[in-house]
Amino acid sequence: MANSDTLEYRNRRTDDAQRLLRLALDNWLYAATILLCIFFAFRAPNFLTVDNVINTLVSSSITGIVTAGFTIVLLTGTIDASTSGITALASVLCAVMFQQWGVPLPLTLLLLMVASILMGLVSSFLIIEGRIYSLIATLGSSGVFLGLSVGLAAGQQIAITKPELQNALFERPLGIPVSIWVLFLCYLLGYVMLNHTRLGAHIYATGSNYSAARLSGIPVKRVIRIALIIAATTTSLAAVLATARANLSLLYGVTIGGVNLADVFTAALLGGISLRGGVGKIERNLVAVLFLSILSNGLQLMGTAPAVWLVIKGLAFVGAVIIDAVRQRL
Amino acid sequence: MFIKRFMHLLFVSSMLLASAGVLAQDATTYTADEIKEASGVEQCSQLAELPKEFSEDWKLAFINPNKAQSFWGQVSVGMNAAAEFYGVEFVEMDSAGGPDVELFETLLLNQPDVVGTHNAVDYEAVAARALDENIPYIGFDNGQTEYSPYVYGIPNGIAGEAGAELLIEGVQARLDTDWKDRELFFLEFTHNGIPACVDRTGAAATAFKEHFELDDEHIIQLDLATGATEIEMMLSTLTAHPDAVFAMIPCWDGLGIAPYNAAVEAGREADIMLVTLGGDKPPADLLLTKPQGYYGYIEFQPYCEGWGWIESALAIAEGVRFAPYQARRAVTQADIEQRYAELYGAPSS
Amino acid sequence: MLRTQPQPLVRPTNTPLPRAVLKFLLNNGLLIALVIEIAIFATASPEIFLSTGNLFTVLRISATTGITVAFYTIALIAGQIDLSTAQVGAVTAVIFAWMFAILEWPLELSFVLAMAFAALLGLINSWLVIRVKIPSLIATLALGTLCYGLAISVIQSNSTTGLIRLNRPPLRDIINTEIVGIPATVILMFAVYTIIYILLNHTRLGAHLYALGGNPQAARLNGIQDKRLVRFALMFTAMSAGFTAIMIAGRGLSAGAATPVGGVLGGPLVAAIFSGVGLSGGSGRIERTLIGVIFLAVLTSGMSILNVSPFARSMIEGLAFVFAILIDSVRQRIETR
Repeated sequence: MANSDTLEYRNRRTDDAQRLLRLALDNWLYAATILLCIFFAFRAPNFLTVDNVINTLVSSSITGIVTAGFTIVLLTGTIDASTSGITALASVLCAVMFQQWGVPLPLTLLLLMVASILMGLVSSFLIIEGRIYSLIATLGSSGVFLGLSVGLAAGQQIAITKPELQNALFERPLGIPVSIWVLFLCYLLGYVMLNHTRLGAHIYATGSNYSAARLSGIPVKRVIRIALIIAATTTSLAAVLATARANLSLLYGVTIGGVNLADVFTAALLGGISLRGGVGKIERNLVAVLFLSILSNGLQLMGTAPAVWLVIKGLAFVGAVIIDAVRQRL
Repeated sequence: MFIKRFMHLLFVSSMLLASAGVLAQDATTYTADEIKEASGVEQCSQLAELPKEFSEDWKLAFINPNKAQSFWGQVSVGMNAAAEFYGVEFVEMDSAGGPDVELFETLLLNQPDVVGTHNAVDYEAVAARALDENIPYIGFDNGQTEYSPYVYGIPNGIAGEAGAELLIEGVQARLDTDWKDRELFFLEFTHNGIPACVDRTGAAATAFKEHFELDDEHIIQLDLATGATEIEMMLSTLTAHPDAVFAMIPCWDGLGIAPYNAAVEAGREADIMLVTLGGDKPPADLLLTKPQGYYGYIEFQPYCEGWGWIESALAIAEGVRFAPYQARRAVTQADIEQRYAELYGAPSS
Repeated sequence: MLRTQPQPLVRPTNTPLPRAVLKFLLNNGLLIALVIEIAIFATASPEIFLSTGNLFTVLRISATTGITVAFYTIALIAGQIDLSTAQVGAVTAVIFAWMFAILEWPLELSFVLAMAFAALLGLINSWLVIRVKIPSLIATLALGTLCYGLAISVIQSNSTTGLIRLNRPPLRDIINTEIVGIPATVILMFAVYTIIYILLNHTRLGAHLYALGGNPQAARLNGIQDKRLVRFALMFTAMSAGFTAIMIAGRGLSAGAATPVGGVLGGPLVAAIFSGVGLSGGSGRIERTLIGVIFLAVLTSGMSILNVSPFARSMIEGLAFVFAILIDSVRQRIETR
């Protein structure tokens, strides 16, 4: 490779270039999101209106909330594939308690928290005590949750006719819908927890080197258990939101447009979370969720055909994955 | 001798004819009233005059696409009730959203006399297999296929048109009053991966477009196959046209109710008009609360449609004529109380 | 240098009897479960479940999923998780249907081109894994998203019904061919499993696949051509997914992009895991995969014959899966002890 330049000069130049490249690659997601916004601001009518900003945030709230918990689990080096099972069971539980048994809303939410803790414990039992690889174990627990949810609902969808749930969630404190407040609250709590608490440090340590973390006295099992409980809680929260919007309990096999594990996966990977754990920032994942939401919103405002839109999304995903791989190799 | 025999034959046959005529009036076939009574609150209308004594012990078989879904659950209840009423053996399977072709082989092991399925993706293949085995096939809401002479139910295209008809009625009323001079869009909520949906909402879009003479830009397809949720798409569409009003038909009830609520969340309830297709208990529950923009739904009466399938299948086996199923009815806010009371009793407060 | 299968470190004669029995039970757990399963269904419905017709039905269901799962097992042994099989299959079948039914190209040409396309997708997957060095789980998820988009685009530009009809003869007759009374697809499945069995257990290639999955670094240091192996595994997984999808589409007389919604135990990944193929690579036995595939087919057919209610069904499926993975984890722990 070396021909005319002196070695020293070339090294320095590649150093600079590399540093610049790394800076670009590290922040490509932020840059891409901003570029996307500028592009749509000029090309997509009504993109830069208050209504659209709020609506885009509302659109991304469910995926965003699930991704927050999912990210924390991924950081411990665990993959949680039980999203669809938890969503179904939480939604049916919410409908049964709130609508059929007439449990007041606050108590329903409290009981759902308890149920989430139990669901997280089931998954973590399989992973920790069963010593099963997390992806497999959570696929298994997801299957059990799905079965339970269908059984609990007696194979029927439950319509929510009591207005309190919608009234509470469609509230707009300071003009901003509740779902957006919840979304940002989840990420704020996650950010503080990961960066400023001992638990956060333990999560990163467990994910980056499980054995080393265990040997240095970090309660790795408890860390994974807590992470799974957090993920179950955020997923249940998203399920309540989805239930309120659908006016129905989400039933497995029927909700095609419900919470989608692939979306969550995509967002987490776009945000640069490593599947091996220990690497990644939760705030980047929020941007990734918004990026995906802005992309579909903008393409739709431009009136692009849905098929084109799908291909663009696929290309964006492949591109993002390649960029991330290049970044990690530098 | 010949004449005597001929007279004898004539006498016997005329006696037979007379007795058949008399019996038809009272005991040998079921009457429409008997069916109405037997089918309970649903009061299904009779599709075929079936004899009270069948010529053979018929065995019918059907693959339900997903009994966990409330619509198909009701179809199953209706089918089983009818089979019990007519005293015939009925074999039912559930493909739970999957393909039917493999399951159909298992169904054939029961040696049924008439078979049926509902699966927009592979019903033709199932009909072709039934033809191989010389078993009559009568599909459910599928429409015509070259592999079977029989059609049953509401084909998706017609269901979509019926929905459009009801929606046109509702939208016209609004256009005369509070929607005067507003820009009108039609939203087609569909899933391009599900052929039944493409067919159903596509027909609705075409009918709506023709009636209001809309151009292509005012017909917006919101496709779940893109991976975006119906809520996301609804919200984007609302902001794309801040001053417009929207008429919408979804492929199934839930696919319309969720975006409706999203519009409520976005403060645009006054700008939308919804008609859904299916009409089982969940949409009835919602319509009972009279949301401003939920005009009504096309009720396919799943129980009666299931009941009628059994009647039609038995008619094929017996070689009796059967009438097409037409019990779809439009339910709007004006008559929901009455309809709800008929089907589910007094609403729980 | 390399052994095809991990040999037990403790000699069998040293194992106390109860331990040996336990080991036997765990090693053949799936087979025992299959026997019990058949016994239960046979008692519940002797005349239908035990008929020859049902035997062929069960085998045909097995063949539909089993061929992909067989190659999937190879990929998992080599340490690769392919999440794109459903979408690769869909786009392959749709492109085949486009060539064969809409452009009316000859069957052979359409088939060969469609399979070449599937192979290309497999190559792209392996390129992302080998060259770009993306973990297979992510690489295939990304390509799968793209394939789904492509499939929908092709369908939408050729049809208004969300499907491309595929009723042009003689496709259906070829797929339903029977050889001495046995469906050709069933024979093909057994042939595939036999070949893969020999390949994994009695060839250098098989030994290398196990070695690569078990310890990639060591395998590379030992001069094993890891890139070629990964390419081989992912290409054949994609081709088998495409082949199966064409078969299903041909039998179903139409090609679409719908991913089946129901069934907790769907997809080759879950079937392979159910059969005890680990996700970490280097472990898994093809004969166990076959038993697992047949077990699931018997479960499907048996529950359909008994008309088990959908919610009981999803419970049973979920519990069966959890039970299988728990047993497998115990087995692995005893093996490594």
